[in-house]
Amino acid sequence: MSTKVIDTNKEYKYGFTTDIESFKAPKGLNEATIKFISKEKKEPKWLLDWRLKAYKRLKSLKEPDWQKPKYPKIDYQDLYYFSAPKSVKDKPKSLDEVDPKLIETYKKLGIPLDEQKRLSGVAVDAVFDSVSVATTFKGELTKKGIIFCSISEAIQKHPDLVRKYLGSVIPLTDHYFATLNSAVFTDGSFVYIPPNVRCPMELSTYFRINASQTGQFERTLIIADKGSYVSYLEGCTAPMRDENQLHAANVELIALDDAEIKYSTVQNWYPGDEQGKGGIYNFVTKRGACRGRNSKISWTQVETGSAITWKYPSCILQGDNSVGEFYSIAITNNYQKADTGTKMIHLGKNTKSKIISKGISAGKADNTYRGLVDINKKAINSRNYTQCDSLLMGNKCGAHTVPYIKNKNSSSTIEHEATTSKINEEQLFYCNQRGLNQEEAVSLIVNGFCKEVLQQLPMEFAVEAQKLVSISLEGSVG
Amino acid sequence: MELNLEIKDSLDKYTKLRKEKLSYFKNKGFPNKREEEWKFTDLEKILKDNFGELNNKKSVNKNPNVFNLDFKHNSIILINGQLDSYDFKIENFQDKNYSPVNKLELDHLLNFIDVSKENSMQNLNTALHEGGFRLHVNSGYKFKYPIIIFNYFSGTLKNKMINNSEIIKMSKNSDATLIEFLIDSSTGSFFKNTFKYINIEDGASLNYFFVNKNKSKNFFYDYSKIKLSSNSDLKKYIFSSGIKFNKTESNIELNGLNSSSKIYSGLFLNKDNHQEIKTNILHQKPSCQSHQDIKNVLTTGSKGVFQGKVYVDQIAQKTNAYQLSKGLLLDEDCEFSTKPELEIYADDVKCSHGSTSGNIDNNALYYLKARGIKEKEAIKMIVKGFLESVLKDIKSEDIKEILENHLDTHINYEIRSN
Repeated sequence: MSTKVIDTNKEYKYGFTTDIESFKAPKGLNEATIKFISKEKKEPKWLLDWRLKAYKRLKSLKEPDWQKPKYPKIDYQDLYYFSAPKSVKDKPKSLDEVDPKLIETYKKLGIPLDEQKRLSGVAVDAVFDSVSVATTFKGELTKKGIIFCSISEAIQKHPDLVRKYLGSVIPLTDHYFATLNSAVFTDGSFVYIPPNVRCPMELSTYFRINASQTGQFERTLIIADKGSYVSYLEGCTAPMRDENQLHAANVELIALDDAEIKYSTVQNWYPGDEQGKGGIYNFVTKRGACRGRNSKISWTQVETGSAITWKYPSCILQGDNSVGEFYSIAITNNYQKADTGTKMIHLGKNTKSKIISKGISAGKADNTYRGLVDINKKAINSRNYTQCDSLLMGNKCGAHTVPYIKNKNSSSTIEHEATTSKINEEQLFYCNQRGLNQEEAVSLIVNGFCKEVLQQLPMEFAVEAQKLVSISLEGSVG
Repeated sequence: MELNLEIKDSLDKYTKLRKEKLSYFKNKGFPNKREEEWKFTDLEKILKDNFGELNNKKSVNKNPNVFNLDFKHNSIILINGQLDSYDFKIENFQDKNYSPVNKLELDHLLNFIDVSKENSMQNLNTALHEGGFRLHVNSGYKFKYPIIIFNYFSGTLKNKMINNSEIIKMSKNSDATLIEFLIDSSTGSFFKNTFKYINIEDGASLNYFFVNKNKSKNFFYDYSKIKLSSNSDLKKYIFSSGIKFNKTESNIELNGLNSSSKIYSGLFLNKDNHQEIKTNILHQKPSCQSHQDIKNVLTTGSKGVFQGKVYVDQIAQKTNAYQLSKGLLLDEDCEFSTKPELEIYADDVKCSHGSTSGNIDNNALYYLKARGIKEKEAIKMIVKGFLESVLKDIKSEDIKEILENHLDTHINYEIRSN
């Protein structure tokens, strides 16, 4: 294959920042900061105690260093842990009262906040830095008894639900970044779907890191009660920034009897420039618990951004007959590093899991699939199927597969396969022959390679994701 | 567990080095599951659970019952890990002075010693090294008959720790087949820690078989570092069914163009058996091949582990690497864990791995039963077919027979007693 480089100057499409006066907590990680956050958000005492417990635990934990992508040491004392757009302090009553600059930012991001966008059927809970500014479609959701709001609001209005489920999937004591999040999380989304309700629309949140030097610590909690269904979309774009920004979110999903949660992510944080300078550190803990019988949790992710992506959306299959799924596309280019995969922990009888992972590396990037399939003694008649394929573009990148597979009972079956190769030259030739240039051909083939995962995305995302796949690989064709 | 490890000052000129290595070992202790390499095999715990004490007292070698093979072969006899005698008369070397085997002293090993203090097993091996053998195959020499390494264990070896090693040099264009037979008739439990260094030069070819003759309630750790040069070839077969604890670790460096490495294993594990096969294949030059085919059958309470890594360097284009690990779990309480790992930095490669685990396919069983075959027989047939699939590349009928008999013995015994 020729090593022609096409358009290496492709710049980050969403690189812009909005000038809004931010209201910040003092720098540094300490009890005072945590108390400040808690007070600022008018939190009940139990939550403050919970945060402080996490902080106490954090002090005894060490930052993990087993992962493949190494990163420069983060000075946690040099970060701001709370930042809210100042204009929000006076609580806007309607959209008109919202800072016009914010609205403008949302428009650039294409967030359907106003009435016209309502027709697209997407309800949005937009997190601008750390405080939710406005939430739409409340009425329609409220009619069905669905709660979709910021987690801060949920803490005020639905404390029982939050208290019952918060930290029940990702415990306080989990690991360094999850515990850090528990101590200092600022905002995020909360979803509760009542029994036997099928959420009529895709719920969506756009996250956006804006204020410089603000680590973002979102906390998302989704509960699908018995027999309910919800599809949740999460998408990220971040402005061009030079210094590395830490993003350590926690996402907890809980599916009770016969409930289903579909969680889709398109992640396109700032990946750093062509020299590997800057970019977001995306250290996210995502975990779902299939608590009930016949419950199902399905993770779909398209990871194209961030300097370092490090996340393993997992399923704990506790209920009998529960199902866990993980579909992933991870694309790394330039100096990006991704270490991602999933954990499927089979505890209940007749549980099933499926893992489809597609990794694409280009430039000088590294892409790792790391996963665990653990079928416990009591999880009889369980099944897992794993497929992870990697595609390499150029000889300066790396593709790695690190699966851990444990089968502890004889009635369960595990199948795992992985392949690594480059783009088939015959396929490229075929496309070239039919008048597609190299870049178009690669884009077509890569989209085909990812098809199994792209198909899992809801319509709204599928189009965007397909474009992203092509954009991410521009300039890497060799 | 009490460790009574002692190095006498009068042992040899390496006392100082030995003592240093022993202190590194004592600092770190046996590896446990917190180390990634030992994640599925917690050696510290396994030894603690099975030994009240381990020592390195000199054992009294008792002459074992000799085991005969009915085909022509060369032989190297080891008793309790130490070289006893060897016999290459059958080869009828032209150079009457040529003796391929030497007793191994610690100084021969020094070239291979890792300077890091981290490798506990190697530190232990160096500190308490008791000998072994060195095999040197002259360039161009192709052995007419297989070399059988009779690895006897006899007498009382209670709480004994055996540390020995092997160095094998296959000079250019040489060819040999080695069969290591483990024949354990000892009493009392022991732990053996062996390091092997094998160098296969340009165009040379080595077939290495490991088979154990009878059951062994003992504990074995076997580490091999194997280097391959251009156009060289290695085939390694591991058949260690019947050993209570065995971890075979193979570090293979493909350092020359067109070199090839193949590893096959068929294991039938039962009761408290715990066995691990670990491989680390480094593709460092273009156009090399590696192939791994690991089959485990597990019954009551046994544990099988496979950790296999394929590393492909940036310059190792046109690499072809394949890895397959399959576990057949016949009973409750058994466990099969695998970690098939790929680390790839070159793009024009074909690398894949597959791993499956589960019980016997009901359709296959039904098919056989529908043809009047009793269930037990049907299971036996399927298990036999499953394990013997790794033998298909063996050319020598004699060796094939040995391995088939080895597998049959375990299959017949275990499935009958179930």
